[in-house]
Amino acid sequence: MSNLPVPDYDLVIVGGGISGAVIAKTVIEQAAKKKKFPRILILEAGRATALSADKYDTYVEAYHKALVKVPNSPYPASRSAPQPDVLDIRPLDNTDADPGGQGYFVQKGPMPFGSDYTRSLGGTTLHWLGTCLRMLPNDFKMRTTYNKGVDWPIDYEALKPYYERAEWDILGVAANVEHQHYPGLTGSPEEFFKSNNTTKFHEGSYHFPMAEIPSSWLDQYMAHTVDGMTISLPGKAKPEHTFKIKISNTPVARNSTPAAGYNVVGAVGNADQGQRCQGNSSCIPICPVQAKYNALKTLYELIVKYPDQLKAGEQPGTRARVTIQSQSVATNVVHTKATSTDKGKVTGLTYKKYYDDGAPPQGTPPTEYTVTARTYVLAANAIENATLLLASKAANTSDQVGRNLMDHPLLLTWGLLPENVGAYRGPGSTSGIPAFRDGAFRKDRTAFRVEIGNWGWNFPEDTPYTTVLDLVGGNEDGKAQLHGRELRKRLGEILPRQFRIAWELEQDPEGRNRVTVEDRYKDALGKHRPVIDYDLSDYMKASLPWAAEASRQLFEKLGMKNKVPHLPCEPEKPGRKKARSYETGDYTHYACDDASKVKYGGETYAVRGAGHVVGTHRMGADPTTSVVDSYQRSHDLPNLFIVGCGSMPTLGTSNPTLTMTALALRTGDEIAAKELSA
Amino acid sequence: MTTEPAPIKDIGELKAALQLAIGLELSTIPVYLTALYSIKDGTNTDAAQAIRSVVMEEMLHMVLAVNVLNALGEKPSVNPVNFRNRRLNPIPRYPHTSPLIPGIGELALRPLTPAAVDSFIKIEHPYHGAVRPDDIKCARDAYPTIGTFYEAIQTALQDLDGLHFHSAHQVKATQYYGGAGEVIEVKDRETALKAIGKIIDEGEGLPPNQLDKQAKKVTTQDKLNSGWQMYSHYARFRELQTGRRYRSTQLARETPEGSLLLVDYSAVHPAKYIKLDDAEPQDSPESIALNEFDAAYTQLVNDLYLAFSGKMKPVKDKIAPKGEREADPLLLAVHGMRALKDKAVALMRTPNPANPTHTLCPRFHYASTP
Amino acid sequence: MGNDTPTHPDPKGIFTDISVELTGFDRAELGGTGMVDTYYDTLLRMIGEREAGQLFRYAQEALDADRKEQRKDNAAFKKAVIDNPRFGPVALGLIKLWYLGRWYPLSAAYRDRFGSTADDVEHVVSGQGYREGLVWAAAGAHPMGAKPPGFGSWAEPPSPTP
Repeated sequence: MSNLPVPDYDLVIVGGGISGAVIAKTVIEQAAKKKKFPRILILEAGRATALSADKYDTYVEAYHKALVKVPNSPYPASRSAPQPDVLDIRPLDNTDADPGGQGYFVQKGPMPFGSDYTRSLGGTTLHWLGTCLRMLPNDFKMRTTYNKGVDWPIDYEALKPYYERAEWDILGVAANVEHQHYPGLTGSPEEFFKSNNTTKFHEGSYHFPMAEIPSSWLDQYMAHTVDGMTISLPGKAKPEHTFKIKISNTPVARNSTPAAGYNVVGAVGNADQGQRCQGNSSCIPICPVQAKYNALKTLYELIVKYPDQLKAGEQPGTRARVTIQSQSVATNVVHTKATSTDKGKVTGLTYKKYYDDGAPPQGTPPTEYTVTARTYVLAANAIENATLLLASKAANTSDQVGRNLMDHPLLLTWGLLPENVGAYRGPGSTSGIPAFRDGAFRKDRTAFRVEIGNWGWNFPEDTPYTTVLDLVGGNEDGKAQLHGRELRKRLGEILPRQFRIAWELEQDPEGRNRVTVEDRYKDALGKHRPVIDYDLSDYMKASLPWAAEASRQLFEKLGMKNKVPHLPCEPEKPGRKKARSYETGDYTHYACDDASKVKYGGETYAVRGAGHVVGTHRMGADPTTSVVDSYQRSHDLPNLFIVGCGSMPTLGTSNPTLTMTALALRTGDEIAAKELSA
Repeated sequence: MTTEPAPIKDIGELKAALQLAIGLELSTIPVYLTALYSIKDGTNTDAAQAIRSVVMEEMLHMVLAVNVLNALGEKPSVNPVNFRNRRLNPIPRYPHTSPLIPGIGELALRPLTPAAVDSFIKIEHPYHGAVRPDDIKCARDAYPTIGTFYEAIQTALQDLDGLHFHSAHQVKATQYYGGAGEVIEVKDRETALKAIGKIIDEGEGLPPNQLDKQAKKVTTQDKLNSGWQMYSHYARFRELQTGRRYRSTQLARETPEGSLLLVDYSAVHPAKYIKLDDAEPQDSPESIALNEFDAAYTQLVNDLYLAFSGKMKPVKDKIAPKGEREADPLLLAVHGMRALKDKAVALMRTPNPANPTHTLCPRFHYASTP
Repeated sequence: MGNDTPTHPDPKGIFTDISVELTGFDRAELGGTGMVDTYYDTLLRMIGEREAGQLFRYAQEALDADRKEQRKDNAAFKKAVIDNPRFGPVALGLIKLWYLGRWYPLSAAYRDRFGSTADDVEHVVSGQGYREGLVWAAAGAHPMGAKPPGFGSWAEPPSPTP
């Protein structure tokens, strides 16, 4: 052993996002307890992002200036490390077209995969909403409970201590336990959250590090109007399923009033800022003050506390050290094959460093390096992890790498309320309706979570832009329909009444929904682009009419029974001659050219991506049907950890970041315990 | 010639002094805010950060003084107080020369100009720019410097008999937090002294010996936090004034010689303050906007004082029972601060029709101050 | 000299008056956005100085007429600018500019008659233009990503819109 070459690092992590940052931090902190001081390299494919307040402000400015305001607007992509863009989601009906002709994803359909992610330091947490719901106990055992999907190799109780650490030590979650009303629990919210950590929480009575973010006035109005109502939905076995509605405040990684002993983490490089959410109403695509967690916070802590550069007089090995290298795209996981006696192992990681940002690398050719480490971590996003492994032909004895790609397809419904509810104020969402997150119905159809949106029709209709264009009109005759005080007044009557709900449907794992690589589809750097086959199962589609019917009943209760007619199959055309009349009612409709139409039971729906990219290297106890074990360690290559949302076997109805963080903490503990040399 | 200011002689005088201390902290805020809000969008980032950090600490100091006063069983009030045979308004009208602390000089509302920065330094310098405290002309019933004023309060808190402290209407650490540091809840003599000590350490009452200490000291923990903690207001404004950072080895009294701090005085709205009395009474959109600002400022101050007296504020809410519920005025004041900023910026962008080379300047006129 | 000296017109002042008429926001509200000068320049970039001069002339005459007759509906302005095929499309662009901070291109019909400039393409004029879009004030809200109203403000009842 001793004459083996010393590896360059203890740990090499691919991906400067939340999973990589959490693992680096956890490994360092846990190892320090045993007087071990690892040296860690983090490779980021995209550009470095702002680590000071004035630089971060330029990203905010870029968003303000952007003509098209999508989640990735503030974050410039490089052609050497391209990223998916929701604008690339186009209809796939034309089968003659080369699926590789547009965008970054090669979409093979039949449905387009509608979610994006960010390839920049900090990753997709730069533009996440911040929702931090734990998964429910049944979400971990879908096969056992409902004979659907698969079971996880761990359960809720096993993950609970890591959820607590994720909420306190990493994300900083604001919520009140007593306002978390989830279905399918036998006990109270207090019991669901009861902690085993009685040192920190008196008698295990758990509380979050910060008080809940106040519910928007819209939420309060909703609760006032619909709390206690029953929604009845038609079932198969039973004639009817009933759901009692209660509006519940949603836990989020957004700074609020701290509990005693909790230190609020403000903006990177300017902690004065972002001590509390200020209501910028732009969590997606960017929180201007960083009151919402992003992975830069953890990465910044790492480079301030554990700089790689040793000070004069410091000896190597006396403290942990972290290097972050951006514009470094991992291209190959170099590994040995398993033999009859030994498992294989990773022997190096090849990456290309590019210099010409934003242009094909031709001026200075990218330099290829191979770096070695004791332990390797792939934390590059579910789709990126999968393409890298497939391109490297690594860790795939199970043939599950790239399969079971999942998202939370969203069904949006929207309407105009009878009263001013103050739309366009506050974080993207502050409350939801958890009633549909679990129940016996999951034998027949997937569960769903209801997110109440605070930003009017911004998501479905790109308001307030289109509302202004519609009211002003004049595209055809060049005459403004409305102007001056009348226009101002009309906008004041319409915009604050706009209301929308997202019905976030759980997607079930299917082997056919997969990421693959093909040599003909590569990016400017020569790295494989993700080729995606994607569809929705009938099990999942069966929830569409339910969500639509639940929406109908809810809208009726809210005074929006009137279904405002929309011309069938007319593409959205703002500024047509006659403006809408904007009477109170339900405005939900689907444009004919919508890329993500779904036909089911004679009805047409349209779904959107939630940005929850999950399931491409799922965990399990059985190496023949899963890629990693419950610690996210590769079954094939034991010194390789493949981490992130890709490890999740099923998705439940929780936004996956909190669970991903909990899993990363568990992996960090495991690496610190077993992988580091003395 | 030395005139020792008279010590605070009894509880009544101490309470009055604390009322005026709250007003003193409040009265510097508009001076700094006017300069801060005059900075054009996206420019002078460092200067803005420095000024903002001072404002946040002035607010903290105000809250600390409030906690001490409340702990003595007296509610903070906007009303005039009798202090040594004089009737003084805690909340000033600008431009304002403090009769209590003449050393500060005139507090004027100005956009960010070299003259404005000079005046900030005057406020924050231990002797307000004088070489020796004796050089400041001052009546015996007043205080030459902010430092001597707070020293008198400190001494009184320490020495006066019959002070009863109890934890009433305290603004809590969880209600007010930020880079400015933590609020101290006052429950006894010790915490009261700690609260006043914090004002002295950070603030305008900078003890003279601090000038002979290192100007700043940034630790790893500071980098992760705000980085201002070890850094007096005086030092921050000296950097602004000289356009240079201190080197880490320099003393506060020295001229900063470190990296350049880029201040662009041309990227500032040319706002010009017009005294309330000189404003022409008219119904022009500009006059209406100026009056609306003053109304918003008055509302904000009222909400703050309501919060300081531990009261809730009834607000209309159609979904509440009987159409009304109670709101935390401190939170409403936070919203008021935000709205005030937007209004101030808008004024400073709006040309003054009578003098189009200048733009309007917020007056920060508190309605009930004559 | 003396009485023969013509008073020099104030183009930016007229532009502001037109903008007040088109948006329903008063002079101080528009001045407060800090966008008057920028949008004045934008207009000149889109239709040229000469055409802007025509617009200003007709608009001012109409506004004067409306003022003189104390007409509340400002019918003369509507006729001379909004409903005029020559100036209507420009007014349309200005309304959208003020409300949304972005320039929407003039119509093909307009360009067929009056030509177009190279700058007449859809664009966000500036970050400040976005932040100062009048639509947010009209909605009783604030621009998404700027001018945050403070912690918990969203939990308060909405203020009535004018």
